[in-house]
Amino acid sequence: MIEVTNLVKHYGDKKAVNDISFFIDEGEVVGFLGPNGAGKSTTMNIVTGYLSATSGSVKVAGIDILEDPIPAKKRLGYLPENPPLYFDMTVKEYLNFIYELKGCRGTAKEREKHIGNICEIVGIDNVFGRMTRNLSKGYKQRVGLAQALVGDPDVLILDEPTVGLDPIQIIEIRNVIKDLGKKRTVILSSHILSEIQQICGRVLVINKGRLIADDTPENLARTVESERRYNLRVTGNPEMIVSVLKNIDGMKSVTPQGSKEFGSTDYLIVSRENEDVRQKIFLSLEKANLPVLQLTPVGATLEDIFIKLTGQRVTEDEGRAGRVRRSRKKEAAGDVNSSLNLSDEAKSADKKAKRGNKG
Amino acid sequence: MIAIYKRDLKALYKTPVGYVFSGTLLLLFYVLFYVFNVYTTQTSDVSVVMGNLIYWLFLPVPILTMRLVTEEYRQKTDQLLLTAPVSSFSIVMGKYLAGMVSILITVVLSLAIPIIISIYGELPGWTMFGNYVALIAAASSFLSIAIFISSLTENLLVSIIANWGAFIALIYLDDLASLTGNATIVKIAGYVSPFMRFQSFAYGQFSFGDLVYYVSVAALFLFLASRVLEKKRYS
Repeated sequence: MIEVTNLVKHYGDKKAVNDISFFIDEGEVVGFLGPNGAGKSTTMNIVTGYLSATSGSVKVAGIDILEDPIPAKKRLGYLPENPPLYFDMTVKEYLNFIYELKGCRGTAKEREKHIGNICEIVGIDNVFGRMTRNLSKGYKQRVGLAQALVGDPDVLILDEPTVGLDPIQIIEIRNVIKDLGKKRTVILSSHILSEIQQICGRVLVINKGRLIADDTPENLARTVESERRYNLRVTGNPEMIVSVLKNIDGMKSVTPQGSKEFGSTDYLIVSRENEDVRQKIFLSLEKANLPVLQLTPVGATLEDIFIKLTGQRVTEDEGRAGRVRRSRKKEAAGDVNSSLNLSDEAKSADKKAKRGNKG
Repeated sequence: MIAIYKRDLKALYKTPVGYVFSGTLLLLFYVLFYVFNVYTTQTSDVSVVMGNLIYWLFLPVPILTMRLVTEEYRQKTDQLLLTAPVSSFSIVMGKYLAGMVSILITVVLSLAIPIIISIYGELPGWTMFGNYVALIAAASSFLSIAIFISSLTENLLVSIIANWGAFIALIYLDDLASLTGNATIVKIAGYVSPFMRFQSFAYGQFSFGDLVYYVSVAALFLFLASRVLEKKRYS
C-alpha cells in the first residue's frame, strides 16, 4: 500500500531523513517509534505529500505522490502533529468543509450520515456545534482525527495522536485507532513503546533520520526485556534491605528510589539476562524479616530499545535531552550500580503507558 | 477550489477582516467622491475620483490577502490544504475568488455614488460603467499580486508591510523611471505600471488592451503564487 524507497531529506546541512526505505502492506498497522527530532514527522510529511524529499520516492497504492499527487492524496487521511483546525469555524462547519475539500460528492443526507458516523467513532458528537478554538486539547486532537477520517481513506497517517491527552482520553483514542486499523492501513508515530505495542502489528524504529529496526513489537520487546526490571517496596532498615538484595544470585543492580510510603523504601531491581529473581527476592527478604509490600514488573522503554539497538542513549538537540541528562546526574548519586538506569522522562512516559494498559 | 472559496469568503466576514477591507475601501470611495464631486465643484465627472481611488486601493487589499493566505501558514492549516486532494493552483484560485467576491460586494455597496449623481445631475452612464469595469479589473490584478506576496511569508505583519512596500514602489515606478531620463525606461515603466494603465479608463476611454493587461497580470501572479506553494515543499 505504501512504498517508500531510499527517502532522503535535507534541511540545509542537517539530514532529517537519511535513506529510509520500507513497504507497508494493505491492512497493516505500523508504528513509527523514535525520540523527538528523529525524523518521524518529516517522514510522515513526505509520505503525505506536504514536503518533498531531497531524493527517493513515495508510492501510495502504486501511485507516486509527487508525480500524481491528487489520486494519491485521495487515499490518505492525515493527522499532523498539530491538528490543522480553522479556529473561526464550528466543528460541524469544519467537517463539512473537509468533506467538500476532499472532493466527496454526496447528497446533503449522505454527508450528514458520513460525518455523523465519524463523530460517533471519535466521540465528538457533544461538541459538534462548538467553535473549534474553544475546545480542549483532547477534543482538538479528536476533531483532527475526525478530519483525517472524512472521505473514508484507505490509509491513515497519524502523527503522535495521543500527545497532550489525559490518560482516559489516551485509552479511548487508542481503542478508536485499533478499531480503525481493522479495515485500514494505519501508520502512527509515537515515542511511547507500550502504546505501539498495544496498537501496532509492526514497529519501525527511527533514530537520527535512520531506520534502525523493523520488527513486530513482541520481538523488539523480547530483545530488550531479556533482563527484567522490577519496582520493589520493602519495609525495614534500608541498609539491611540492600545487603540482602545484593546477595541474591542473578541480580544485576539495585537502585534505591527513596521512600514513598511511611517506613518503607522503594528499589529498582534489574536482574541478569534470563533470570527470574522474583521468588528469591521474596524468600530472602522474608527470611530477614523484611516484609515485601509491592513487587511490580517494569516494561521496557524506548530508552532501553535505543540502548540495545544503537548502544547509545537517546540524544537530541532539544532542551528535552538536556533535562534527561541532568536528571540522570541527580540519580547517579543514589545509584548502587548505575549500569542501567531510566531517565525521569522515560519513566513517566512508561507510567503513563501502563495506566493505559490497565484500562 | 469551490470548498476553499466558500470557506474563505465566510471566514472573511466572520472576522473583522472583511469589514475592515470593505469599510476602508468604501470610506475612501465616498470621501473622495465628496471631496471631488460635492464639496469643491458639483460635477458628475467621476474621472478624478476614480483616478485617485486606484492609488488608494493598495491600502486595503493586503489586509484581505493577509487573512486569506498568510493566516493559513500561521494556523498551520496550509498542511491541511496541501495534503488534501486539490492542486495548489486551485487552492490559490479559491482564495482569489473569495477575495474577488469581497471586492465585488464592496463595489456593489459603492453604487450609491452613481445613484446620487443620477438624482442631482446627469449620469455619464457608459463612462461610469467603463470605470467600474476597469476598477474591478485593476483590483483583481492587485489582489493577485498581493496573494503572491502574502504567500511568501508566514508573518502577518511582514505580509502587509511587504505588500504596501511593493505597491508604493509600483506607484512611483513611472516617477522613478523619468528620473533616469532614459526614454526607453520611461516607456517600459509606463507599460508595466498598473496605475498608469488606469488613467485612460478614468477619463472615459475604454481601452481593451489595458483590460487584457490587468487580466494577464492577475493570471501571472496567481500562477506564481501557486508555484510558491509548490516550492514550499522543497524548503
